[in-house]
Amino acid sequence: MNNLISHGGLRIIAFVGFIGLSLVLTGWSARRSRGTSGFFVAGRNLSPFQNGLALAGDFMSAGSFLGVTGLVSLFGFDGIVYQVGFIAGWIMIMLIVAEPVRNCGKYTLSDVVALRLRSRGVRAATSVSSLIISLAYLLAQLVGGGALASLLLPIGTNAAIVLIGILMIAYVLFGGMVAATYVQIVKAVLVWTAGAVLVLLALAHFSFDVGALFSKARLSSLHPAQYFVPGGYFKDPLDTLSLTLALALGTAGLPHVMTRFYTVPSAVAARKSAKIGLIVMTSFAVMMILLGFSATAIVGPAAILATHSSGNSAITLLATTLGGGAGSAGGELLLACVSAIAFATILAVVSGIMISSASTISHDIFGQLFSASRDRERRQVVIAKIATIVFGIAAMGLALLVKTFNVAFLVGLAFAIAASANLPVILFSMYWRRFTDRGAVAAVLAGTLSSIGLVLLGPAVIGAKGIIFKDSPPPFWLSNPGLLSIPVGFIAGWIGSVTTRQNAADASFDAQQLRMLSGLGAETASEH
Amino acid sequence: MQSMESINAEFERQNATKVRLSRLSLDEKTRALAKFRNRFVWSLLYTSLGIYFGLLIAVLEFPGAMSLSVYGELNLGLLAVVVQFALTIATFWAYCAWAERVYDPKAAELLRSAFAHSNGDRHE
Repeated sequence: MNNLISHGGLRIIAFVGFIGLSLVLTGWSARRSRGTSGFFVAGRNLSPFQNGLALAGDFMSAGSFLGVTGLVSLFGFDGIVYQVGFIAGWIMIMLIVAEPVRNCGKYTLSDVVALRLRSRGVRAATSVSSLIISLAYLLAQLVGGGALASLLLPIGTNAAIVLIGILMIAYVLFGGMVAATYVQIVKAVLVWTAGAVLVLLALAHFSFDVGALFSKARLSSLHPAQYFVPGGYFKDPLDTLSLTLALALGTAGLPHVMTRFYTVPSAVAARKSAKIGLIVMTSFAVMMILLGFSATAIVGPAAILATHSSGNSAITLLATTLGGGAGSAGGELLLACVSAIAFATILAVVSGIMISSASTISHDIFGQLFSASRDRERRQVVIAKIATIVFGIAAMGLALLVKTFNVAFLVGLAFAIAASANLPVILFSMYWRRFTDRGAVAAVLAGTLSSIGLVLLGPAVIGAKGIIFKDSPPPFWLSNPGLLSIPVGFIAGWIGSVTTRQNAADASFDAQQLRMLSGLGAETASEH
Repeated sequence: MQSMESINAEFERQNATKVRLSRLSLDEKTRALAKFRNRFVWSLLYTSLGIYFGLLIAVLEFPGAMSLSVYGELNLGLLAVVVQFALTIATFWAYCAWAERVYDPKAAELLRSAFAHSNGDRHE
């Protein structure tokens, strides 16, 4: 038993156990994901509760579980800004995106836009922007996940990236959206439960006196006077505003989040799933904030920084301490559970992004742009499976190439493109009669190019904290381009539309509104 | 006495008018419901996001004021976070309650009209 504990044997057992469970789920899902609709959107047969948990699972990523908790533990108030931004993004999703998207779309975000704007240029533009978002998000998750997995498990970063990549491909290849969703649901339940147990144990440490926990956290922090006020981590208020703008508006343009609304039978079910998702997400966000404070109060910032400079190990150190300390059976058991769950969060999130990317490549690019054959609907699943392998291997290869760089900015870039390119097109196409094909292409091009261009010129790439020209100041001072790129995307969409004289899309606006509001003609759930 | 052609022509004209009126009526109903929904959701969205960004800008602009204690360790900054979480949940609750009570019956009515319209089209 001691040998098992001292060599991290419990962690390996927990980790192998989760992989085994997820593969069993994939095998079971393979029988339920027949047909195009079954593969891409789980036959639209998920219940609001299941989809709500899966939506919450997308939010409960390793970034939230490990990264944000670490930021809160080290920098206090500023770490909370991320959680608040992510949660605020759901206001827009719930009010003006979820139900209309469910009624108007089929498999991808491009379908929503194509209901009115049928030109190939629009579909090509929205598909490419969706793929860039997915690739940026996937790369960040793979590189971050590889580094985290190598911290938690006795394997190297390369091996961790390859393992995550292979499992991601396997889930999607054999189980499609059903497997990706069930892995996400299991993970959501596990990660939420782990958070709740750790919060209870941490509160018990302070005899359930929240005030005492907060006092100890502040006094133990690196800068007690600054711990509960802004400015500890984010130095430039405009940069913070830019980031939060991208987080609050970008969530509604993330392809893998929007695709989840197609997995339920109706718009009302989409609304209910968003409501369930929000309850789970908000309670999780509050728990992660409490755990960040608890880590500082119980473990201390010096110990957290000694293990990882970004604070990513705060929650694992807290779990070990709450279980009785390193080397104790309780400490190793809790650490094993938390490590396996952190690994599960990485796997579940990348699988969700993978199925969304495969849908875009197969349905939008091959199915709608390049294929004229009548059986293209049937062939889309085959192409999606090939796309899963090719895109998955390419993402893995890229992740291995850039693993030594700080690629955290890629998450911000994904949100910025989602808010600057996808969101204007989604909103204008659903709510503005005058929106045209030219406007859609202009919005996507301007939003995508300005986001990428400003990030390349910004401090994430150039300058002391960047990747190249470390001695030069970056030409653009904001780390996240949202403050500029979001208005650019919306303005380009508006200018492109008002400068178009004839507009066939204008005539189809009423038909689209009828479908969006009543659900007439909306995609239905497939038979079991 | 009217010829058969003129009777048929009159019948066609009346049918065409009926279809146009029916289509017009459906479009009007759709626009009315869109306006009704938009008025509620966009107002709620502007208010919620306005409060969110207002709180955020206040926090960023006046970091010193955020350290003012409200109750024990709870200062103005942390209170703003609590308010934001509560606001998001309240917005969701308000929208869901409104949608279930007010909007869904109207959407169902529009769907019935649309079905009736398409059935009418098929008969004609």
